[in-house]
Amino acid sequence: MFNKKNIEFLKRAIKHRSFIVGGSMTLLLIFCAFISLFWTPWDPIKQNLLIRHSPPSWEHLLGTDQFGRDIFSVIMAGSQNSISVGLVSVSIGIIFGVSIGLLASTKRGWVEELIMRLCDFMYAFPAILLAIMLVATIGQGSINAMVAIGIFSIPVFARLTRGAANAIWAREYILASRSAGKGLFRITIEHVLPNILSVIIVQATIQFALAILAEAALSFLGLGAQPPTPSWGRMLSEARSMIYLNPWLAVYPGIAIAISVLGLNLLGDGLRDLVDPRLARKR
Amino acid sequence: MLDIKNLNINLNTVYGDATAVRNLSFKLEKGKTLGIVGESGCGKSLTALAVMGLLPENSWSTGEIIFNNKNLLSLNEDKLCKIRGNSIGMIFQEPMTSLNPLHTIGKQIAEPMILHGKVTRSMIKKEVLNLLDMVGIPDPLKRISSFPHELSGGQRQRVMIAMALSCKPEILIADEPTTALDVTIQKQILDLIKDLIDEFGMSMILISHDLGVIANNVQEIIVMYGGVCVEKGYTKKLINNISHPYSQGLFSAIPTLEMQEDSEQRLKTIPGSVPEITEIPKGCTFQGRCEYVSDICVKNSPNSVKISEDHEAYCFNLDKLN
Repeated sequence: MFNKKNIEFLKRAIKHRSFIVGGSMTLLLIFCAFISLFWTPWDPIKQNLLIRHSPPSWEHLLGTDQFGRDIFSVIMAGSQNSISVGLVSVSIGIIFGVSIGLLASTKRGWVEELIMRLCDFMYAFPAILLAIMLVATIGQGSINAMVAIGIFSIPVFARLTRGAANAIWAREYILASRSAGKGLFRITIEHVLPNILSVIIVQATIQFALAILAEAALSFLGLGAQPPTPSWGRMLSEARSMIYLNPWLAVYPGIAIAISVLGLNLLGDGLRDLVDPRLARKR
Repeated sequence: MLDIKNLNINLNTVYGDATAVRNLSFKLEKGKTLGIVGESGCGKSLTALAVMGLLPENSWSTGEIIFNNKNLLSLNEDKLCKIRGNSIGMIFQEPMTSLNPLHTIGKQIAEPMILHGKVTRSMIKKEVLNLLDMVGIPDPLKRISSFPHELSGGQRQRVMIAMALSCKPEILIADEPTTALDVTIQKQILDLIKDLIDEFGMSMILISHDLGVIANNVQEIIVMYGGVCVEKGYTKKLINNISHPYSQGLFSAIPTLEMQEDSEQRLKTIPGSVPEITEIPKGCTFQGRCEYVSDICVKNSPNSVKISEDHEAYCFNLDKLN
């Protein structure tokens, strides 16, 4: 575990600015979600019409919304929703996308053509639009939104996997291990997949950020998490009608979304530099 | 044991279809060694890959490759997998890239044996240590858990040899095993391969562009040019009476220590370059660079001419030459 290679990796990681900044922002997000499972300052669902639109105070750190809910608590609880959307949709994308990408690159020929053209077909539509379409057909709700976003990250992973895997297939050690009598399936699992894992992990962090954004958009349109489940996207949409009365209502969830998406992107960027120093941008 | 009959390998290139190897036939008996020599692009590596059933995507082969009474070209992938590594082993040109950087060499050497069920789980480590010792890697106990990047080029090639020989195959195909190594290591590696071949009674196909390497290490030679065999024969007979103009050119391009730096004794070269694979001419493939070229060379492909027992060349102008 702690051999020379790993220690060197850690040393480089500590010095990498965007990895550290992005990593801490992501950790903050995860921490918030985790804490909110057991404790929030106030019940994020409970309304108290007596204290509607109260300004920030020690009692309510970010003030309250139009129903008198504590905004800080709602934001904390909303992070759960964002994280679960990210996890579920990225998992769907990886499980299916990586499999069909590997299949394409192992089988080649018409199988590869068919899979890649299908991916092109899905790429031709804006992902959000398709997610909206899908949710509109299979019905609104948190789970459906996750599935819809997941489905549209499948071609992203499929393309990436197929490209990276094709590069590995051209390596001599693949030919050498074929000449040792290894079948295509075992080579895929034992040689190709481990060698492209780092690329997939980097893409997963970036896809995670996109999923959070997409979910916020769906919820904003009322197609994602349904009330009373706290969701950043829905907070934004509820704040829309209050924009002149209490503009801060829209600012807080916006900041929460921005921090998580920025953090994940920086993390992905940093990871990419760290796993393959040759790809690092000159700074 | 291995009998190749009329092997043709076709490539589908961006410039159209091309025949990379034409009507190649040869036999390899048990315990014998055979060398294929020729310059880059003459089809020698493709021939090796065809025997393994590992031709690249854009190519296909016709003819027959009979190995132990089975035509390898008609076997499916599953059956080929059982032969590869098990009955036919292969060593590649680039030891630097032929090992997976993510796995230890011990694991990679053990793999073929596990795949083909040659050892029990408990014996694997002992067997790998034996192999490492056999191919001359010092301190096997320490090296077994090394990663490929921790070894030198020569050591990596030794690991490749250990991998290829781990299942004691009947045939070893060595595709330019020493091209990427420097000359002293080259000699060590070739000697090692030769010793192991003798020890296990294996047959070998050695592929090289270096006639010197071939002549010193095999019993029978095939000289290839432009995808066809231009001369073949037992090493001693062929070297003592090199007949085809191309083989003569190859031979006179080997430097010797006696050479002086005066103009008369400069190394001879063959004028021109190998034709593109899509532009190989009809008739004799060597016509464009041959100093003895005549009309018939352009019209017809030369047939085999027997020079002596077990030595033949494919040329119309052998009388003029000698």
